[in-house]
Amino acid sequence: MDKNLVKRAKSGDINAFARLYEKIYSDLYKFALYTLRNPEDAQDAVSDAVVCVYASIHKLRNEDAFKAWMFKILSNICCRKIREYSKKTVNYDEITDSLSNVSSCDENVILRQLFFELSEEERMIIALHVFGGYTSKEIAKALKMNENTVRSKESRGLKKLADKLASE
Amino acid sequence: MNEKELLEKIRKSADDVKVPESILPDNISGKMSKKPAGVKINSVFKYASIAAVFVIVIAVVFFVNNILKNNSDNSKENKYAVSDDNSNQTYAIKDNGKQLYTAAGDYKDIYNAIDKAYEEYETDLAYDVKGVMEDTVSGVEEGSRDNAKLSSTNKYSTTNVLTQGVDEGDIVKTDGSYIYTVVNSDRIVITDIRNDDMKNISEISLEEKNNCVYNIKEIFVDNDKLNIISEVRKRDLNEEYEDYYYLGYEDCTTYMWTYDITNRDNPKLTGEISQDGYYYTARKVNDIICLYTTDEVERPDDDSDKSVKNVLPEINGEKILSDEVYIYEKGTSELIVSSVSNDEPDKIIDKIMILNNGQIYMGNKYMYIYEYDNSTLIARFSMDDGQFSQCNYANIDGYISNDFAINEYDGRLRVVTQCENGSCVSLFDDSLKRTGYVGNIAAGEYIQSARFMGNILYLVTFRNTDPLFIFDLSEDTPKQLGELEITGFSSYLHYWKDDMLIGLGEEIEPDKDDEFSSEYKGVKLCMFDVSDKSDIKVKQTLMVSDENTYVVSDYKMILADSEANLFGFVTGICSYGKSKYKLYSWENGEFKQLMDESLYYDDVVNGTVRGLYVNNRFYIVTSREIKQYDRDDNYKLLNQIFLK
Repeated sequence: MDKNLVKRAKSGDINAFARLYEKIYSDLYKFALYTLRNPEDAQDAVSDAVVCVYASIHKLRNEDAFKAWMFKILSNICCRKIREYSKKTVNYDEITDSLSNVSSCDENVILRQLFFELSEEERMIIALHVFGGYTSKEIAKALKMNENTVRSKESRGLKKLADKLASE
Repeated sequence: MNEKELLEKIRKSADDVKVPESILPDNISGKMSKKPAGVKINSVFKYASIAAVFVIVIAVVFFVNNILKNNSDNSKENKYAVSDDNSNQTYAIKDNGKQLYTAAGDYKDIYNAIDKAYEEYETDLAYDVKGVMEDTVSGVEEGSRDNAKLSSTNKYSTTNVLTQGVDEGDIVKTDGSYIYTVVNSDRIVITDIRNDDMKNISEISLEEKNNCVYNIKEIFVDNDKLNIISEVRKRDLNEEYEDYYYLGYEDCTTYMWTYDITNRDNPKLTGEISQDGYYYTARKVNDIICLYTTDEVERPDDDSDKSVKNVLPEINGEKILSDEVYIYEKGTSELIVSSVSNDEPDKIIDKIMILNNGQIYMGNKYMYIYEYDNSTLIARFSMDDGQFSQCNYANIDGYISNDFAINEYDGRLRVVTQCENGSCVSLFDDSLKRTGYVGNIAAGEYIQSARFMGNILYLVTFRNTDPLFIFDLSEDTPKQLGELEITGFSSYLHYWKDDMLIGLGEEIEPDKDDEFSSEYKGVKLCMFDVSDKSDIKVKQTLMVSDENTYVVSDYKMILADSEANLFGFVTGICSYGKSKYKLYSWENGEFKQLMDESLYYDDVVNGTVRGLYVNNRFYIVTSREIKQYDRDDNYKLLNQIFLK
C-alpha cells in the first residue's frame, strides 16, 4: 500500500490524504448509503469520517491499514446515525425512489430497495463485506461482535434478500 | 442463487450510485493545495472551514468550534513563560513513581478489563469526535549521530535511527560488502557489492503458499545474522477481496526468521518466532531484538479462565499468561511485546501484553510504553537481558507528538509534549521523577521537529514562521539558550560537524493578514551555525524544489552523515513525475548538489527508496533495482542491477 502517502498524510499533508481517499471514497459512500439508506446521511457520514480520520491519522500505527481503519471509523459513525434513527420515524420510500433516475423496474433499483428492507445490522454487516471487503472476523472486530454472530446474521440477511428476490 | 452470487449482485446494484459532489476527493482537498504541509491543526482547521462552506455536518462545526476554542487564547504576548506563575497551564505531574499498568492477578482481572471496555462501547456507540481531537502534532527526536559505520576496511552508511545504539529494522541494509533488499514485500535479495560488477548472489523467497500471504516488513543485519520480520496472513477462502492487503484474510501473525548468512550465497534458517498480531515495530539493543505487534482483542464468551485464555494472543505457540498481561483500566486493543536473542533465535526470553493502545520508545537502558489519556502516561520497563520489568511511571500534561520528541540519555528521560498552550520540555531523573520543565514554549504553535543531542535540545515549532529554540538540559531544569525565527519550518533536524545543524523542511510565504493562507513555496535546506547557542545564525537557506514538490518525511529515507559529508533525501511525494533523490554536501560554507536523480513515483509513494554509500561508491536502492554511482567522478552512474 501507499505507505509514504499515509506517512505524508500523517504529517498533515491534505494532498496525500486526498490521494489515499481517492482510492476508496466511492466504496465508502456506497457502504454508508447501503447501511443508512439515505443519501444525505451517507454523505454526512462520509464527511464526518473524513474529518475524524484526518484529524487523528497520526494515530494510525500500521500504514497498511488505512482503508480498514477508515471503514472502521465510518462504520462507527453509521452506528451512531442508526441510533439517532431509532429515536424518530423516517419514511424511506421517497428517498429510495430518488436514488436513481433509472426506471424503477431496473434490476439494480429493485435489489437496492429490497436490500433496504433488511435490518440495520444486517445491512451494515453485508455492506461492510461487499464494499469494505471485510471478512467476518474483521467485521466482528470492527463492530465488537462475536464472529459466529456476524456469520449467522449475514447468512440470515442474505437468505431474507434471496427470498424477497424470488417472490418479486 | 448462492451467497457469493448474491453478494456480487449487491455490489453491482451500487454501480450506478452517484457519489455526491461535496465528498469527491477534489472537493475535500479543495483550495488546500497551497497550504503548508506538516501543520496538522492548521491544516485540519483550514480543511474544516472549507468543509463548512461545502455544507457539511454538525460534527465539523463542532470540530471547528473546538479548534477555535483551543486557538483563541494563543495570544502573542503569552509567547514564552518559564515558571508556573506565568503559565495558565499547570503542567502538572501526577502519581510519580507508582506503576502505570497493573499486572493482572488472574484471568478474571483481564476479563473485567476487556468487558468494561466492550460494555462502554456498546452503551455509547457514538464515535467521539472530541476523543479524536485529543492529540495532534509532529516532531523529531534523539541525538543520533551520523548514520555511518567504519569496519576495518569499509566505511558505509547505516539505517537512520531514532536513538544511537538502538538499531531499527529497515527494508534495505548494508554491511559494506553486501546489500540486503526487501523486494516486493515477499523476497530478500542479497547483492554482492565488493566489486563494481554487482551480483545478486542469493534470494530468500516467501511467496504465497498454502494460501498464506507474506508481507515482509523489515530486516536486521548484524555480522552473520539476518533477521526477517514478516506478517503472515491466511487467505479466507470464502472471500474474494484482494485489492487491499488488510482485507479478505484471516487473523495476522508476525514471524521473525533468523538466518545464518556466514555463506551469503546460501543463507541457513536457524530460528523462527511467531507472534500474534500486526507488526508494529522492532528494536535491537546489542544482541536482543524486541518485537512489537498489535491487534484488537476479542470479547471473551464468558468470564471463565478458558474463554479468556481463548482470546489472548499466542507467542511461539504459547498463550500469553495472565501474569504477563498489564492492564490500564480497560481496553479492547493489545500491544504484544517479546524479546529474542540472536544467539537463540528460536527462544522467547520474555513476553508481555499491554491491554491498551500503547506506543513505544526504546532507549539504550529502558523501554518506555506511553499512551495518551487526557495527559501522557509513560510507563518505564527495565529490560535486563531481555527480561521486562515495570519499574516506574510518569504522567505529564500534553501529548508526545511523534517518535522524536521522547529521548533517553544516560538513563534519564527527556520529553517534549505539545500542550494546549505551546510546548513543554520535561526532564526526568533516573528514577523517572521529573526534575524540572519549561512550559508555554511558542504558545499557539505546534512542534515540527526536535533533536536531542547530548545535553542540548533543538526544537522547531511552527505556525506562521519557524522559531528554532535551543535548550540546555544539563541541569535539573531546561534552560533556553537561544532562539531564531525564520520563515517556513524544518521538519527534520540533524546535527552536523563543527557545531552546525541541518534543517530539512518547507518554505512558506507567510500571509500576515491571514495566517491560514500561508503560501507553500517548496522544499528547503537550511544550515544553522549553532556554535554560539545564544546567537544562532543561518549560514544558508537553499530552495531545492518548487511549490509543486514535497519532501518525504520518513526519516529512514533520509541519509545524514556529516563525516562523509552527505545529506540525501527524497522529494516529489505528491507530484507524479517529479520524484527525485537529492544528495547534498556542505562545502566551503554552502550546500553543493551532488545528485538529482529521477525516481519512479511508485517507489517514492511506497517508501522503497534508500540512498547509501560504501567507500567511494554511492547506491540508490529501490525494490526494483540497485544503481551504483562513482563518488570520485561526479556521481556518474557506473552500474545497475535489477532485483525483480
